[in-house]
Amino acid sequence: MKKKILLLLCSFAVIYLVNFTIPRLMPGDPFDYQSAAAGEESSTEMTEELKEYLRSYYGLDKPFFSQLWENIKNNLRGDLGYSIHYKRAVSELLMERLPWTAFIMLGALLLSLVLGTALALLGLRRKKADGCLYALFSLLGELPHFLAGILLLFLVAARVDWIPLSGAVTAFGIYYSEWDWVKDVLLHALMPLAALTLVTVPSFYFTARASFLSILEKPYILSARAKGLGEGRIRFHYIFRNALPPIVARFFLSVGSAIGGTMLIENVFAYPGMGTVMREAVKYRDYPLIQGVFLLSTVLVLLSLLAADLINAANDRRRGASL
Amino acid sequence: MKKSKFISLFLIICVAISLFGGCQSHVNAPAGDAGGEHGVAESSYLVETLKLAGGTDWGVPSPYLNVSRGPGQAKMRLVFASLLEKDETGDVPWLAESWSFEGNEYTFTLFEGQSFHDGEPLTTEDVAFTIDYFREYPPVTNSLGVGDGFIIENYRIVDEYTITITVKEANADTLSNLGSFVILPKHIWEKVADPYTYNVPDCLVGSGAYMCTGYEGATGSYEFTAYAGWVNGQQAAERILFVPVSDELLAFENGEIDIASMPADLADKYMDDPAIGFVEKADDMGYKMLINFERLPEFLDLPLRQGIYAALDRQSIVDNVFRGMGSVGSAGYVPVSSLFYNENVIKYEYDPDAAKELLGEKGFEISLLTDDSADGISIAEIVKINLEAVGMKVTVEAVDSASRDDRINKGDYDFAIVGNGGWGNNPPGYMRTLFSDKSKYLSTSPASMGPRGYSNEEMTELAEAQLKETDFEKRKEMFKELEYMVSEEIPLFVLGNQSSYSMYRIDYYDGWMKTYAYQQAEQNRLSYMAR
Amino acid sequence: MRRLLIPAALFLLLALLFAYGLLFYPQDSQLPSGDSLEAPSRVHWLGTDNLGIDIFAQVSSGFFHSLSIGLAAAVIAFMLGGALGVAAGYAGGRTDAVVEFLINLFLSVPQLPIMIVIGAFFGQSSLNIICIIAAFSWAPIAKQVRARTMSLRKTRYLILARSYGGGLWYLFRTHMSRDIMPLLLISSLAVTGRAIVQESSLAFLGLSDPLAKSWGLMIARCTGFKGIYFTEFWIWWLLPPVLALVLSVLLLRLFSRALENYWLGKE
Repeated sequence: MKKKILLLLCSFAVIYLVNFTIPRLMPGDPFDYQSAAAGEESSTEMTEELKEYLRSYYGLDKPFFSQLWENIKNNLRGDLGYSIHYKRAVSELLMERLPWTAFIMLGALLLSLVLGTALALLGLRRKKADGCLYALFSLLGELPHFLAGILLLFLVAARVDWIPLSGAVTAFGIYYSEWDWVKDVLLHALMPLAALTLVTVPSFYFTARASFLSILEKPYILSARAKGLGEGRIRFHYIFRNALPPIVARFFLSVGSAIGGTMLIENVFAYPGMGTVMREAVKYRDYPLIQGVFLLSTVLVLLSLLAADLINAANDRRRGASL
Repeated sequence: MKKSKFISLFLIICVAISLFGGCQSHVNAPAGDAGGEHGVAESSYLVETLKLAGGTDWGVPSPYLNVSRGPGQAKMRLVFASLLEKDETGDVPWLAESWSFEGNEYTFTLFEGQSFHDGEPLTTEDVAFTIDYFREYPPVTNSLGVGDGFIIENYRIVDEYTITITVKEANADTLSNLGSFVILPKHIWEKVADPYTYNVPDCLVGSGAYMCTGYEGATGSYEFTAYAGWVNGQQAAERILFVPVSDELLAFENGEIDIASMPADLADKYMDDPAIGFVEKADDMGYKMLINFERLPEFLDLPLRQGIYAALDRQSIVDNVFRGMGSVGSAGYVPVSSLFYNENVIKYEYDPDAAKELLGEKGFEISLLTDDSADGISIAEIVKINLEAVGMKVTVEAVDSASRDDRINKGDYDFAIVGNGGWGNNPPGYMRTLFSDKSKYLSTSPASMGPRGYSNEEMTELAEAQLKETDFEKRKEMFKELEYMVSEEIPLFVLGNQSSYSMYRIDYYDGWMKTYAYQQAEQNRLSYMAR
Repeated sequence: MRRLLIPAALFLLLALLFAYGLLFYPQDSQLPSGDSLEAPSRVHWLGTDNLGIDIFAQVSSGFFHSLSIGLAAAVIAFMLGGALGVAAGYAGGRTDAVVEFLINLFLSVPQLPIMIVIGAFFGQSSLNIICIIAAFSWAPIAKQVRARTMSLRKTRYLILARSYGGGLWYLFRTHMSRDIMPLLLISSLAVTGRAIVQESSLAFLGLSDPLAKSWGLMIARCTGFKGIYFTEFWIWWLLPPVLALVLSVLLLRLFSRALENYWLGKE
């Protein structure tokens, strides 16, 4: 376990360094871009002097290592820097966006977990349903995230009046109660949630299915049956509870791909989460913001991997003890 | 162990979900309006609200925090007023009721009784403070210059409402520059040492006709409310809303927004509709092609450049890329629809045979740099085909606009296509940064950067001299002369100008306008005033 | 065997159709050949987009663009994953530790965000996209190959062969390739499909080669067209690239799965 944690820490260090270095190697700096108004209707030009001034203001004129050192010190204090494009603290911007992303991602994962497990349980009982589901999910599992979003957008949201096409809440909506607001949020989240769930359910279904099947072969199930315990009791107490840890571990293992998926789907539905802000940040070469988004998602993913490892380890230990 | 794990998992999720739900109340219905019809109070404004398409975060509308592009700037300028404003024909009073100038001295007299949004009176003290403050901390949009380039020498406060500003060297743009910097409230900013990170609510206490009463960056929504203490005229709307929309056109059709841009392909559908009004942005977007003469000095030979012009089927760019909305650019750069256009400039017709003759059997191999926008790429493809038809070999390189700008700034290109807005601005101040050898490297934006490795003394002289000329008609003549020289010498190629339209419902609100200098109806402050 | 042939045959059919579109179909995939947004007709099989460019021609050239990116990424991942996996599994010790760390590193990074970062900064050429995708595809292959090599190393015939002084390349060629090659091929085939999806995702975000008529780019252009929702243009503008993408990825996946069953005899 210690080795695992060490490994994750090392990964983090490498990723952190890469994340810091790449933007600085690339052509074009944020001020060039800010001043170049290509494709814009109005042009705001910056003189070379103003750009120099701003570069030194944001510390981009210092040597590489002193920038790195500054960066680490600031990050440790929870300061992720200051967005050059939005002119606000990166941490503040991200905290505004993170809840929406977390809502969509965790919501979809949770939904997938419940749906996947339930459907796998159903498949245990009905072989025919299992066959259909297996085929269906094999197909769905291959669907790219953003396509799921686009298909839902055009085939469902654009055809149905009451489903909003984009955004997270009604702009300048008027709410008579807290419940009104929640309804509004849920309605807006419906399509992004559905799109992400559609693509994540299969992996949960397959994990749950495999886990159930492996448990069914275990001797204690046989002995429970022999004891004449009721099928419902066997199903819940023995199969469901013993099969759960790998499914929960799958939840955490899925965070990595779900983050990417959420970012893509957010861009389809113009959902105000981290994915949309990341795209803007890339467009405007906003180093601090790009680094912030990336750092946050890396930490999230690494923590989830750690959680999955912990669950698996605990599960193995328990298995070992019970055998 | 399983149970506790499960519980903790649930806790995590609950915390995450409640993060945005639990912090604040979202109930905001006006009292006494419990679900019924929205009671419309007698209002002294023309319309209750004007709704525009939002959805993009243009930053906090404050002088140090707004995003530097047009829409960000325009929002800031609703909240913060400058001394002068422009209407259809010329400069008009904004915070300053009157002004006069003589030599390097400009005197402005403010309206009496104007106050900041917190009720504090606005006086020449604030104007003077703002000049000093901007000298030290340049704001995002800065008409006063930086460092040694700061145009103001000093100022003298005559009385509470009159101030005389002395500039280092007066020129044709000075009045416009002095008239357009926004005034900060001294009582707030004198305490601020780092304006670039100062984003407490105070930073929105402005001097403009509208107050910023709502801003949410993540969703790109803004709310502006008319400021009752504004003395120079009456606002048109009580509230201006920038609403995030999924599809601008759909939102316009549904009445969710009051003004929208019209896609060229749907022009037929709207143009015949008498209920819909238009503001035309004539020829405002333009595409030019630059040659890097440092790399390709052969092209300093004029007949070769004439050959290139003859090889280009610029009408097909207008037809295919602009979908007919636009014009084949004037070789003199200033677009046909401009006040300053010279109708005598040389016109280059599409004539591939002549081009072949002029270009000869050299067989140039060049790369053509463009940005990765759909239009930029389509234009590059057409240029490539045109040039290959006359015996050149062209490779198109498409990169994102930041990289393209960087490469143009560094001179790392053969031929490059640059598209930008503002060609319809008056006066065409861009002519100086494009064609004067003295000014062309001052700006670092490819949009207004002159051709690399090309110099022309006569052109430079003219481009610089127009700035010194304060007589309007004389200046116009100088511009026209310059245009003719440009069309004759071809330092760069004008590929085409694109027009666009904003459309609105006439019966709801008809006040959208464009100034003589700037064509964006949505970004002009006078569009939001009852006039 | 039939399960193997059907997806392979269908994929071939798809490839032939698009090859026709690329080679013999009269319309150009880069230049306007009609009015904007023409409905499907005999001249333009799938209509035209907003610039008047034929959609079938674009989808066809998109197929070969996607496929070549997928295959190129798969080849690189194949070589990198195979070499590192075999080396680590066989050599053990420090080499193994380093490779294992690398594998875990690449497996733990959130892929899309880092692809966006790298893609944005390294520029948008197809070559860069291939490298980025390959860089994030070799790790799972290496992991499998490493495990397999480790178990092979303990087999008697390998121990014997090694004691005669056989070099790694010799041992691989004569004794291990039969076990490892199918594994490698199947995982690489899976990489091809994933790479196509990833390329189109990046293209959708505007981070792929802007000159290539990639499917992701077509989809992004269409969804970005103002007023697309209340017209019927999307039927011939959006659906063809979407269906082409889904179909080719699916067929590739079915094929690789059938191959897996066939070669490895897995359920």
